[in-house]
Amino acid sequence: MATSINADANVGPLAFSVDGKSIHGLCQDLKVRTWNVATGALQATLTFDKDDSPSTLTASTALSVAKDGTLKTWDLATGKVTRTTKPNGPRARRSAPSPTDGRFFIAHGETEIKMRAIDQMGKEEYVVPSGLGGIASMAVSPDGKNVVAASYDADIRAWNSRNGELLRLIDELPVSMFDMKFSPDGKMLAAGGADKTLYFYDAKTFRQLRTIPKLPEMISALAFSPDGTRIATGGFNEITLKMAVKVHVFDVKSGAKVHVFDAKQRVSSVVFAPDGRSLAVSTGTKSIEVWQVA
Amino acid sequence: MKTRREMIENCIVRGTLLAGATTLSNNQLLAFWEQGEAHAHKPTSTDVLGPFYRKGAPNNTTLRINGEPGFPLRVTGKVVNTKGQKVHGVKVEMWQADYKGLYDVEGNRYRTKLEVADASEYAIETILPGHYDDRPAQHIHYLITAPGHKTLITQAYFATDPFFDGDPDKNFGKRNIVKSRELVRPVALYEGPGPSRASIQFDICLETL
Repeated sequence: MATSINADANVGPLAFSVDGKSIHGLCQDLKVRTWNVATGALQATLTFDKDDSPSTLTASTALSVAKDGTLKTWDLATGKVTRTTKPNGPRARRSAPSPTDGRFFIAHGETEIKMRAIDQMGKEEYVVPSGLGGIASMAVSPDGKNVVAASYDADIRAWNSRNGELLRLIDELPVSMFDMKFSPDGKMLAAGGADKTLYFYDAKTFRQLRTIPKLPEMISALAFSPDGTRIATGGFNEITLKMAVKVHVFDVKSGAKVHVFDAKQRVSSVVFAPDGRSLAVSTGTKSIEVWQVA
Repeated sequence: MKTRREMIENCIVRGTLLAGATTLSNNQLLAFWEQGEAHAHKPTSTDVLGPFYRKGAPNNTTLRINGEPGFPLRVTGKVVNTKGQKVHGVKVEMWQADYKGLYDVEGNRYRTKLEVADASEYAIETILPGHYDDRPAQHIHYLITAPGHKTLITQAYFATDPFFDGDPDKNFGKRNIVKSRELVRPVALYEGPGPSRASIQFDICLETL
């Protein structure tokens, strides 16, 4: 059985706090709410400035993009802006912060997409082509050295984050990858999307290692467990996002299915608690399900 | 063989294009003509690629599958540049949902990558795409590439779709799904002899690089 945390708005992306006692959820009303995991009590609500669209959540921060392209980093504990970065050039349609050095990787464009790296002062370091039709997902390696972006034309590009050198164009996948995550040790990249297959890549060579095929639904969300031994996937159905789906937890090495949970509809986010003992799932509804996985 | 420019220049020199324009020099007239010609065709509006593109579709002009439900549809069109000229080496990728509103994400049902011949015209036999909850206007996706031209990502919609409530002029912007009125095409119905079918013409105009 799962424990439910009830929210007063539909919840999308999730992140546990560093100590695992709280969970942050980016809600459809464009606020980040923080709940106590054990009691389900609402602890804080972060309201962004007018014109700011929140995008990425981490254990302690939220990133927002303003209409004029300004990136703001918010401290979730205090609810204050800790950094404001105004990149030159078009507004970010996708953005990913570096976990190590305060830089941002942002993508813009509608048909031909460009990805650019922005330093701490907002200065553009480089701009590189990034496929067609939009970015389906982005990820930065835990050491901050590599950045990957999956475009809707079914390609993934892996770059050296420092200089934008293309390390590999992964062009053998048939469909878009809706989520990608690096393993906590940074050695592996997992990707999942429209073809119901989970792909694992070597995060140095970006060559395919193995797959877990034939999931029952398309994959919309992924998460590695903190020790990297397990991976959770959430899905969605082709016909309607409102159809009940499954959440799976696999053993990364063997590909064996360890857990299967029910989800009400399209899974927005799956996240493991820092101790790896529970898995939180959001589905764009007014509740977060927390499952015991150890 | 004379180029179009040479022919126009000749016409100007012979006075055949000068009626009503006696105050303009030949060069001015030519410049105006070229300007008009350049805007003779507006590039086709873009639309989103969507999440269900799949690589590797075959070059197949019959997408309709025998025995599968769905109202037969013929889609035809030509591909030109903004000067109205034929475009060479065009590849037109098209994909759509089946009658249930379902995309084939594991195979190539209702997907094609046409290599358009030098006549710059294309035609496929398919079915009217089904409706699905999350994008309720029937549509066919396009990804068009040609050497020397800007890649075009767009979609074709159907004026008969109940989504437009019988008035696409008024309702094309409903729910922010359709980006441009011109992408909603009139639907012609053919009722026989032989099997009934619908048809749309979706001409494509590419920008040169």
